[in-house]
Amino acid sequence: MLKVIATAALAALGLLLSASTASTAEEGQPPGEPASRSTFVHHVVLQDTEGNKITPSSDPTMPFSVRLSCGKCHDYKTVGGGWHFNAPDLNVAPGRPAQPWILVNRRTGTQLPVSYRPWPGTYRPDDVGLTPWKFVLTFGRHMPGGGPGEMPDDDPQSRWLVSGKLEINCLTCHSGDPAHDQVQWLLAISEQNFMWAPLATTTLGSVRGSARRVPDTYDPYMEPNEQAASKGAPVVTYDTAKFDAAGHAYFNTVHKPAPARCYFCHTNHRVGPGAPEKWETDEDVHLAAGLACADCHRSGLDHQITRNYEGEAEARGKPDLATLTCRGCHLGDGQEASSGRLGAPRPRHVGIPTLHFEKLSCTACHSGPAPRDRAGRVQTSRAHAIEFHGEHRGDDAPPYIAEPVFVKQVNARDGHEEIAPHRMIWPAFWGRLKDDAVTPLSPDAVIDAADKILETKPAAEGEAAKDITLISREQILETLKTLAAADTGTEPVYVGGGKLYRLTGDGEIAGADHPAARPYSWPLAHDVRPATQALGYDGECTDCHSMDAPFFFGEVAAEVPADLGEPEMLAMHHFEKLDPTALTVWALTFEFRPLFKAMLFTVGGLMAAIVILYAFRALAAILRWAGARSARG
Amino acid sequence: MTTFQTITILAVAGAAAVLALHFLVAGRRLCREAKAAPRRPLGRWQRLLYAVTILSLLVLVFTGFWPAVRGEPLRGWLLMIHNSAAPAFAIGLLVLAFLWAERRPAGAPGATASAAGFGRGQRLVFWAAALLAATLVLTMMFSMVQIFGTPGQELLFEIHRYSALAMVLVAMVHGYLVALGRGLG
Repeated sequence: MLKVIATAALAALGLLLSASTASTAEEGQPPGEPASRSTFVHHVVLQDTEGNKITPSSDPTMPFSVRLSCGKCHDYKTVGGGWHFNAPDLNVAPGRPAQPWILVNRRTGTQLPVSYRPWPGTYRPDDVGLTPWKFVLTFGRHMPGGGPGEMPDDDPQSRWLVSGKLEINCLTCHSGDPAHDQVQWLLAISEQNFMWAPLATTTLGSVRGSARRVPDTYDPYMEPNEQAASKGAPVVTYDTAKFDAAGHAYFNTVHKPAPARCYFCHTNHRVGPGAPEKWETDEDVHLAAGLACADCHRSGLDHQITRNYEGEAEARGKPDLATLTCRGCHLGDGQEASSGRLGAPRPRHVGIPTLHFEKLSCTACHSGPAPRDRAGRVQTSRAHAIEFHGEHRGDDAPPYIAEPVFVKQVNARDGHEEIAPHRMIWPAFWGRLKDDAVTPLSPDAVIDAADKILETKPAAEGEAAKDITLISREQILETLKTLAAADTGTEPVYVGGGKLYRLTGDGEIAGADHPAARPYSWPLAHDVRPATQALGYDGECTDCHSMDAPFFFGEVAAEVPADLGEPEMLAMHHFEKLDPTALTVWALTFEFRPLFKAMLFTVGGLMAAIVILYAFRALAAILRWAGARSARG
Repeated sequence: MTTFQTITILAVAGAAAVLALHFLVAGRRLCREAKAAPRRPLGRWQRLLYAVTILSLLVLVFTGFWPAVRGEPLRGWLLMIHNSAAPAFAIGLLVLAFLWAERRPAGAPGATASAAGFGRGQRLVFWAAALLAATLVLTMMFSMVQIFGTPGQELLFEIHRYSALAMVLVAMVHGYLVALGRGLG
């Protein structure tokens, strides 16, 4: 008996041990996030990109690798599949069109929307010669790392071995350190200090030197600090005070990013005539109410940050996401129990016919700047790098983005058409036309071919450099002639201002409509205005239904960075696909609307009074009849 | 197909079938009786007013039900025509209500000997039309003022369109009675 018990006990112990072994085998995987809502304090063992533990005294002192240092606990691959990083992945559904990257080149009059995501109207980066290396150099300033920063690249001009990969920088969003300096990221990108960029933004250490200045054969892992410094290569100095006795570095991180972190890449700034100064503008009403961007734009470890447009829930196969749209949060959107999340008030929309909710997105009345007679210009973080000072700034700095432009869009939830406010850019670029399709040329290729023609005029005295950079019609003509001389079996064209320009037989240029010249627009959702500033609030039908309402009759200029004469002006109804005559007549009826209401209220009231009067008379007759019958017994 | 589309098609088809059946069963007798009954045609102005009211009703029915049956919202030019015809119909029917409210069937207590006759069927049609017209006008008017929020607006719209459907059925009965010679005179 004892033997049996002993055998059983041994077997049980074996089972326990094997379970323990199994669990140890899984320890290669990151443990995942703690379930607690408390802040996890990050004391991290730093590792460089080769997996070596970093100490402040090591030489050469390498920057920490986010992939290896943070990836010990947070699965880097899972994070890397998130929305901020997965654009190059062709297996990822593009979702609703959004702001593209915009390739700008003043000398060639180029402003071209590019995106790895196949949004109609954008071009793939490689279409214009933007290899991952060049893409990062051009746009990395506002990328959080990852994506093109870690893609395979056969560009012979690339210097990934010197610069290192541009890994995802968790701290771009999740730093809670008030001294986190994202501007250092831009400087690091411009110096090709890709692998040093995350460190440069922190107070953990400092980076001096530039990978751009060292030859292609430079190996950052082999040069001691002193030698690297002498070559002008990047050199790291860690702040020893930021390391504890065990050599762990402390990171001040937050789970939910503060809006200021999001603003670095997602600020919009209105410019031009009538635009308010920054201090005159208000933040989104949700932020003013105390919410953060991440309260609505959520994600798990997969960083599939919700975009919260209608139809996203269906596209991603996650019905609960519908509760995070405007309708979902404020109205319930078919899931009544979900309305009022985070205290969202339920709107009454008093006096607004329900047709409006079918024909307009919520944002049409509630979001963006109020419509004006002419759509204004807006500069965005990603398009204009407004976080930085420099020559690129100024109201006339391209690209020219107009807002708000009211455009008819397809609601991805059920496919119905609705009007929504958008930001809009008119593409301007050089290309080659074949079989009525335009293939864009990279600005570098155009400059190579027409360097002299596109030479920037020297600034006259008192003339700001930014004022003289629009290419002229003559320059376009001469450049087209030059490009035509290179016989490629295609026709050179310049696309701009809503037209496609090509050489005519008499040596001039002529513009014509072409699909490639059509504007690219993307829906805007922020800033949301307070309800009292919504269009149509408090019975103000004439906000939109008047003869000159900007909502229908405001104009949009087809502006591009080229001097093609006065830009073509198109009314909003053009983009709303509405009949202007019908809109005018309908607006006219609102002149008589008070009279109409008074008259029909009187008519309806009198009609009701007659019916009620005779109903009472009928009732009286019934009572008389019943009384008479009762009297007869 | 929406519930309203289904109900509209069924109701109109059902009403047409019932009227056709009624005609087959009692149509000839009713026509004979109508011919034998004393008649006093409407005066010129009343005829004009009646014609305008009926015409505007037809416009309203077409502009209102054409998109509804197709499952589309009423908008654009159709909406404008609908809104333009509405006052003509409402005012016309109100004036007719003033003129005809006191009409009784010939021989009924209180009937004026000189007034045109008003059969029981048409009397029922008249009061149904008056009730529905008041409902149709007021539901839209109340939706234009700052009283009702979205649920209220939806309710007003539902009442409006079902009242409109009922008005169509009443108009069909009215037309049938007129065709039988049981008109307004």
